[in-house]
Amino acid sequence: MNEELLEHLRLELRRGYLIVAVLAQLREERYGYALRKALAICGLDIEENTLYPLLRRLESQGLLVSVWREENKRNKRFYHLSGEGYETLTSLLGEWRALDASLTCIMNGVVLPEPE
Amino acid sequence: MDLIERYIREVKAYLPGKQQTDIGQELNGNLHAAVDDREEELGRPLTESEVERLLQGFGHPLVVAGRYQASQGSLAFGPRLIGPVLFPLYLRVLWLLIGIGSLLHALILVALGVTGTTMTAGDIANTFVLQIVIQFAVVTGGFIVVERTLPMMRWTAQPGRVGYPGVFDSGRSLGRVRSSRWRAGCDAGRHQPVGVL
Repeated sequence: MNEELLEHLRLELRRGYLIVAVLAQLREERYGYALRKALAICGLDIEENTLYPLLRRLESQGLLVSVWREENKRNKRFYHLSGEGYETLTSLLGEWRALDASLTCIMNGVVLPEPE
Repeated sequence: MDLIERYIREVKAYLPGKQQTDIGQELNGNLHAAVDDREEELGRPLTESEVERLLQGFGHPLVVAGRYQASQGSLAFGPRLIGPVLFPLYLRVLWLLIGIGSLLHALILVALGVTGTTMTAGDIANTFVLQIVIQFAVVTGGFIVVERTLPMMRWTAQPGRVGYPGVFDSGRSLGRVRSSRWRAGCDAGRHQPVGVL
């Protein structure tokens, strides 16, 4: 098995999924490092220096809102979903379920009935 | 935490001015949280080399800074030659060197003109374009080489050491190589911040 190819394909698979996971996790307010731990608990390992820039990007896109808070005498930036972020998350989750259903269908060789 | 502060300062040096404080503060909070966590696990404060290893695991400052600007594109010509991590720095160096080079060139041309040397418009255009092309080739070539060595780069806490463990580990600094500022990435602890252009 070509490890490099597999790794590349795994990354491709995870890329879009990662964003949904981050949005979903941020229904509750969290700061970068704690967010990474929370994701890891559920089995999603993401490199810190991938996650932190991602958070900034999502915020600049209006999907997240951030606020500085002091915790343990340190200034930390806490992110959570914006209203738009919430809508986007709902949309993407719907998309995810649809994809899941399609794949199940494909794997089982069952033909789905045409939508009315 | 002196080491963390130093690390963050290096990361900030590769970021555009307006983002520096913001990203720096955020990193500060997150990195200290990581250290605090580890200390809680071990039940004792971390040694300096343990903190160094934690920061190394995070990534070389050049790479870290690059990830914050990853959306800015890359240079691809078949295989990707200069990736998103280095691309912003590459553009700035290119702009800087070609800008300075062209300025110097223009001054020389003016000086020549004043001393009465005859030049045709064709000559002027030729040499001007030539120097731009040469600089472009050198800078691009240099960055392509650095891009290839990125995976090998590792941050070290000791100033003056080049960040390629096992290759230049004698502890001697390679010293500053003329004006090429991008090489500052290899001098782990000593460099000037790349100016905002």
